[in-house]
Amino acid sequence: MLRELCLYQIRLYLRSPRALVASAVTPPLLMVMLAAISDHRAEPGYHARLVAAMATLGIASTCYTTFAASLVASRDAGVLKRLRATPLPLWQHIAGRVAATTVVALAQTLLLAVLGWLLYRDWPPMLPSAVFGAVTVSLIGVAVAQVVPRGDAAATLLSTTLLPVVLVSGVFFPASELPGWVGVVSEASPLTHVGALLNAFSWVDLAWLLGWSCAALAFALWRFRVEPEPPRATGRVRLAG
Amino acid sequence: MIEVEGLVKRYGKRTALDGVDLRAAPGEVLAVLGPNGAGKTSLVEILEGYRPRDDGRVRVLGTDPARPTRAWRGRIGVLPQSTSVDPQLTVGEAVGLFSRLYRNPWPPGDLLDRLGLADAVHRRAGVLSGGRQRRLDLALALVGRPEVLFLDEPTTGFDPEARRDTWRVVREVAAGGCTVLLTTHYLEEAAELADRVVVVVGGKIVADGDPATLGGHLDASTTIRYRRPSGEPAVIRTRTPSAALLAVLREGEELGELSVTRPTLEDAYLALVGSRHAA
Repeated sequence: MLRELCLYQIRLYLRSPRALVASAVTPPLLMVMLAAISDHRAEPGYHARLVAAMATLGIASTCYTTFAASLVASRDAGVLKRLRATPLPLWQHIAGRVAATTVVALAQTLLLAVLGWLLYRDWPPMLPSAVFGAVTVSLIGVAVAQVVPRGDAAATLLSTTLLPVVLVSGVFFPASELPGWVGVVSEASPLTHVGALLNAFSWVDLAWLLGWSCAALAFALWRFRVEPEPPRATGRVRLAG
Repeated sequence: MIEVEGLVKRYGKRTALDGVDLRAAPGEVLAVLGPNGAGKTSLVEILEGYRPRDDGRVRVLGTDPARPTRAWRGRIGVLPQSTSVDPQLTVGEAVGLFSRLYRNPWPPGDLLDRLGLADAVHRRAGVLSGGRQRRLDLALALVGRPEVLFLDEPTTGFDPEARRDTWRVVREVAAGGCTVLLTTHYLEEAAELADRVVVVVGGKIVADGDPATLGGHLDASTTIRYRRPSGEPAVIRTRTPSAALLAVLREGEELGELSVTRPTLEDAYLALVGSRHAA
């Protein structure tokens, strides 16, 4: 059944590909631009680190923004409520969607890595570890979708939460150079460890991702909602005039 | 097999269901009628396992819907009030996916054929007309061969032929022993399909009975209307229409535009709802 659900979700992604195309195109474009303007481009290993950083951005965009938004859209359309009335267990439903999103994110990562190899003859040494990052960020996407009240709030909430996390996670600036409390936040950010794992395997990074995955899954199972939040019964905003 | 005793549901200070008692036997089609906001959706969603209750005892197929199991979900079918199919899936893919969720599903091809969707098997759900999307919804509710089927306004947006086809399918399903709980705003649908009708107003059941006798409307007055030779209209309301008509005919008058009408389910429903609202 898991395979069926995974294929079902991939089919939905492919038939409504605008968001996927956007999240697949942005990282390569940024990669080419940054590689052209960076002062560090002559340093050894720079391009491998750049590909890893852009792959992290792609994983975040697909597994967090696109995936969580699609989950909220399914909830708004009544699809989740419908499936909840069937014998399909909730964990299988979540696993099928996460698996499909992971497959799509890995395909995008591979395309980016191939482009990096073609342009710079370099790519991240631990590319297969992208699977850990994609699963973790997808589970965080499921968890955050539970606090998005309705589809009309999804785009704003998801993009405004993603941007600061990306900024402190070593995608655009090396995480090790971030000072003070920003460095502490960076260390706790899952994206920092997604990028780090692509560059070099580390049990510490893997443990961070495992911790984030468990927390996100527990929250998602606890708070999983099949209906959008109803609008308030009364308005609190009073307009003048 | 639905048993409800003393069901109470509150939303904050508002009581949506106030001590509802209800039973439906295997193979019975039970229609729940009521104005908007009467508590129908709360009642149905508690029975479907979507909402918790505040008080009372509820059993569907012997299971408390507040503690649904996977096996129990495999024995019920739910048609929600609004269309809820991924618009990017084709009709065949949607029914195929749902059929794999059940142990003994209805063969998708046969089901689509019965619901008049065989020609749409490769069409995406999002491009179907409203009525055909609703039929696809019904297919998804039926595909697991449910023992209890919840139909929330099942024929909204249907043309008359599609509505009658759907009624035929629901009758067949009920004849096979499936309990059907139906909510509808079409009184004709309730009269046509239901073995029993309950009317919910203000969170309480105000009438429960056969659609032909609901609210005692079979005992209510029959209306005889005709036009006298002078052109003057005449109206007689009586509980003994045969005797009343015979008495008029004995007077030897020619009765123009004669009509004899009995109260319909709609008349009984409106009388019940109107009197409760007035109270």
